[in-house]
Amino acid sequence: MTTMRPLLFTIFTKTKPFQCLRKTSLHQIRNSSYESSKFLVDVEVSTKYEATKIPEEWKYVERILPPTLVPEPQPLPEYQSGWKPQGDHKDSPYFVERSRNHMMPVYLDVRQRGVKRHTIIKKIQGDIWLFEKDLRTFLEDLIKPKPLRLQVNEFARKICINGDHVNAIKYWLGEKNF
Amino acid sequence: MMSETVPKLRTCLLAIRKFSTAPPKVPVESRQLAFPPKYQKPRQAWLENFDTIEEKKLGIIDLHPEIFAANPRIDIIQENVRWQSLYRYVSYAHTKSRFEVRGGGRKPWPQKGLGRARHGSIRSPLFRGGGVIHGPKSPTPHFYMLPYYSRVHGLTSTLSVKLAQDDLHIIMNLEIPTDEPNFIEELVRSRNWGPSVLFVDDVDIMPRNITAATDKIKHFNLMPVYGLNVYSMLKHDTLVLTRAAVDLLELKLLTSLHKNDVKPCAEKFKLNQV
Repeated sequence: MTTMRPLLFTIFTKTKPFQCLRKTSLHQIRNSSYESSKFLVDVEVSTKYEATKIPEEWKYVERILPPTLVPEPQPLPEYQSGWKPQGDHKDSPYFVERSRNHMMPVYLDVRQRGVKRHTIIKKIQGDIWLFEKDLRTFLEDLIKPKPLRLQVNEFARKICINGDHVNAIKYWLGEKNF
Repeated sequence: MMSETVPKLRTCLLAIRKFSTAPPKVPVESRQLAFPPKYQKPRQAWLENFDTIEEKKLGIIDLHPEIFAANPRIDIIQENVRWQSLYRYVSYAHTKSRFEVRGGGRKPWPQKGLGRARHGSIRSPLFRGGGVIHGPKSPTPHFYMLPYYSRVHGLTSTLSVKLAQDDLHIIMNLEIPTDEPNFIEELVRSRNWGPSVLFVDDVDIMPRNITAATDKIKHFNLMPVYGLNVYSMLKHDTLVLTRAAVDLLELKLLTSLHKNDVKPCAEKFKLNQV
């Protein structure tokens, strides 16, 4: 509803030159939803209101409406929270995609009522085995002399590590600008 | 060395191209992708014509890798197929318990003195013709709802699989010159689109010729974008999307993948009725 929605629609309308060729007198109606059904009786609205079609006024309405899509972060010289945007990795052999909310996809999984703690890295794209090699060198230094227990799930593009290393891995990913 | 020769070669090639008799290069459709991909390159597909039997490539279009080059999670695809076949299935198997079987109220023989085993009813589950313990009861619905994002990823996975296996074709529109079924049959045969084809358009009101031509052919099916599902995509050999359908499908899937408020769709399923 805010900046993203009209942007998205303009992009798609730009790419749709063929749709205007369609000459349909009929309109697509979907009656599958409860909301699409008609009222049994005419509902009278007792509140007095004024309808306006001035875009200048509609701007203030749009400002109040919550955004339907997650907006792209605005580039700033410095971020107060310590959060950093993702760098450019077009030519990198591997890539860790940010989540929908632009956060790093590193999660702590607590199992057996806190007995077992696992760190899970998701959304790894590209060469997952090279990523594992780089991560392994970092983590082995960190948890010396304990052995590193790490499992690569290539099919689901995940890495599961025994122990709570969420902040360490987030720091390491941040250093690599992911 | 290379930095000097490469631009020279390029200008040389450009000069030669003027005298070439080869057909001009296929124009690449400029298609601005929403949510530009950060790592993966856009997938490309041919845009084909649909008004003649012989195939003409009209151009190449870019497809969003988040939708058409997603991780092919066959486990999520299987979940979707299972859900689609189960949510509408109602089991009508029915058995009667010992209290529902007729009769059996009287004690068959006295408790003691006959040397026989003690029994209280001839409809006991131990008896032939007796009731069934914990048997199936009719109707048993198998309805459940798959999580929202399993459904979304099921669609992206299946679309990616279809594109990777060369079973996805993109056409301009569904306009064909005739309503004869022979035309569409010959078109599908000559383009090796496999016996069964699913044609997807953006709206459910399709051109008259294609609806009349495919009406009697049971393995050519038409579907609007809102009806597209994992089971149908897998059931048909080839998926044919119109250009408008690709745009709408990408818009819908990308908006659900980049949704701000996921709580309403992630919460427990509620029937959309009062």
